[in-house]
Amino acid sequence: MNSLVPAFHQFLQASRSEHNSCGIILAACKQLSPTSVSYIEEALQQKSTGLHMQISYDKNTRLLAVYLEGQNRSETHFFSLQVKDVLQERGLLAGSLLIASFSESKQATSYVLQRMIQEVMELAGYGEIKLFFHRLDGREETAGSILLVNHDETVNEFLQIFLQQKGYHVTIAQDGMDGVQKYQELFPDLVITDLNLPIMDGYQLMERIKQQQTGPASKIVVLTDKKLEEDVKKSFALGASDYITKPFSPVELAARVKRLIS
Amino acid sequence: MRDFLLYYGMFAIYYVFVINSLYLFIMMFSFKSIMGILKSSLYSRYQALSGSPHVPPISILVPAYNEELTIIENVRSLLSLNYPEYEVIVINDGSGDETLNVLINEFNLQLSHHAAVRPVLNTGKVRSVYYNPAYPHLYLIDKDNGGKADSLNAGINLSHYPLIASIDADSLLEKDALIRIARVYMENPEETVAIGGDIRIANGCKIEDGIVSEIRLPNKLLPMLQSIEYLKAFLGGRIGWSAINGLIIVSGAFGVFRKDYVIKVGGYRGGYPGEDMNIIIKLHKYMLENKLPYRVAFCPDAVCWTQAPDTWKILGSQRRRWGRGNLKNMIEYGRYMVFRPKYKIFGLVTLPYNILFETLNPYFRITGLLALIGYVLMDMTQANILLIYGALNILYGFLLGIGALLLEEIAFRRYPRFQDIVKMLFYTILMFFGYRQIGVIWRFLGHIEYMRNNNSWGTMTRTSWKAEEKKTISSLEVRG
Repeated sequence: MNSLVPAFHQFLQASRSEHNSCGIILAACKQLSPTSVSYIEEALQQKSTGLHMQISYDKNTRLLAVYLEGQNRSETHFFSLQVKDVLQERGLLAGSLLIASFSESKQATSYVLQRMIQEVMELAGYGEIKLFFHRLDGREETAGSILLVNHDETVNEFLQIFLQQKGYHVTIAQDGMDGVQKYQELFPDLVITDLNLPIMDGYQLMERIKQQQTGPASKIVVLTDKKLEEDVKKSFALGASDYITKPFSPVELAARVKRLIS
Repeated sequence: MRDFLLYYGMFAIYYVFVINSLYLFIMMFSFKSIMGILKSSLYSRYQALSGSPHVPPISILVPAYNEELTIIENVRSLLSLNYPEYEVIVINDGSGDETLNVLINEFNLQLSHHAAVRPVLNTGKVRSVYYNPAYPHLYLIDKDNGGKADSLNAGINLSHYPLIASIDADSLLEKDALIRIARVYMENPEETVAIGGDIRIANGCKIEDGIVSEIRLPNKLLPMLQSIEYLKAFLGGRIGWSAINGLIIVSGAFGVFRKDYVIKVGGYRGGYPGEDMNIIIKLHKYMLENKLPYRVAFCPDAVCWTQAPDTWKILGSQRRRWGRGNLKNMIEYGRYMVFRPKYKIFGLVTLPYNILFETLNPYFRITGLLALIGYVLMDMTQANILLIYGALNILYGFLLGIGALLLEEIAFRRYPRFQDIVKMLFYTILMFFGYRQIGVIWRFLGHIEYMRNNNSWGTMTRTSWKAEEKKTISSLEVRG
């Protein structure tokens, strides 16, 4: 899990009471030491008079995130120029910047932040400032988020690419425990899970999901080797919406997924 | 005196020559059948099989004595095997440590009052059975200490399925090991009474969540030597023996058995080590005496990773135990079955081979060597005989070692790096300078222990698993 997401949640919790919009600036940096992070923070604090903001840096992805309280998109854009200046002054910038602003109507969620993180890492160029449009129309609207819990890396990689092409946002978990954790973070629209998983099996995963459901229910599709009627019966009893056995047709899987989340 | 020594020395040379030739002969059977095994496993669709309703259900029996450090990881790994229908029965054999409690806490097990334990085999007192519906395939038996065989028998009493698999609690199964063995069983379910799996040394491998994730050769000397030793025994020996249906042992670390026949022959014998060889001898005996067609198979691609002892002391106690068990089995069964035509290949080939070249091996080796040394001391001009003896030994051993490595490289290639092959070759040679000789001495010491026990405490000497000190290896070391 990217460390920027929890920092973002912290920030939201601290600020949400007064303001209903916030700005995010993500910048691809070089390797930063804690001192240079605090230097950047000081420099930015000087430039932003009276603005509540928070900085966090993720070592693995080398992303610097600046969260701004109560800023709309143009204000965020303006501030991002200063961020860029500060970073370039010290030669710390490694790539481009991506900015976004959330208002009341467009909720800032960790899912959107994840998308931003993905996008900024894919951005080419140096020192460019891109706007992130989290449109809720077109393809983005129909596609949902999928959590894929499976131990087979080949299948995971294939299905992730395949489903991403169909416009879904796919997250992968390698085992049952990982699956539960990622489920709690993301609350995806759909979970595709195997039954035979290390640490915690598919049944226990489904039970946990059932317990934790508060809002709209996540759909569950079981994708497994097991062809025993006992397993099919038990899966449906635990709330699975569909049961697909391997070897499977990805086209059929996509069709069934589409039927469940549209 | 001089003549006697010379002839005895010559005899020792011939002995070495014959034992190695026979071994080479057996290995040729290995080569002959390896291609068939390889192809059939290549064309088998294990993934589809691992979910198929046509695969027979298996009860996995895991006897555990003082395993608190590794048991959780092992049970978790066993619970996520690729296999359609199976149960895991852990038998806590009166452990002195927290084995029972860590299992109960980890899996939230509850006392089960209505678990159906059928007393088909006599065992030590079963204190209780634990179960949790959230893990429907896991059972935990808590019983008084009675040894490994007794634990297995208790597991059989509780087991629900027609096949049983015995697995050491300090071993890790590969995810598809069980389905691979089951395929061998399904080829001929009527006649297959037992199937052995391939045991490999896990020292040096990277282990994550109870799964061997990166295969590496051991870094330490002793595990490395054992690694080669196991390769030779399993690939070079057991494939060949199983090809002529003369397999005398299915390793206790991982084997699958037909429960009905195990019960018919009276289950596992307690009180002595070597219960794994004992059960196979009894199965051979039962099937042959009742003139039933049968086979004891070996499945080299079903791999079980085990922890090898890495100190001389623990290894020595393991080998002495093996020596003791082997001698006991030969005295108890071997001598009544050997050279009886009724027992076919088993009585005419396997047992003579085992008695002459395994059980009595230390005596021939030690006296032969002494005779040669004595002869050379008396007459210095004949020193070359000693050299011939040594050279013959090493040359043959090396040939057998190369053969086993070749089998490994042809069929399995678990160690793909070139440096691994070089390392294995080096240790194949190194084995003949000290390690093998010490092995012979350990076996001999095992025999002495056997005689002593017999004289002082009568025949039924209880040996708890305390002798098996290798169980103290911690899970941390496994990762190291």
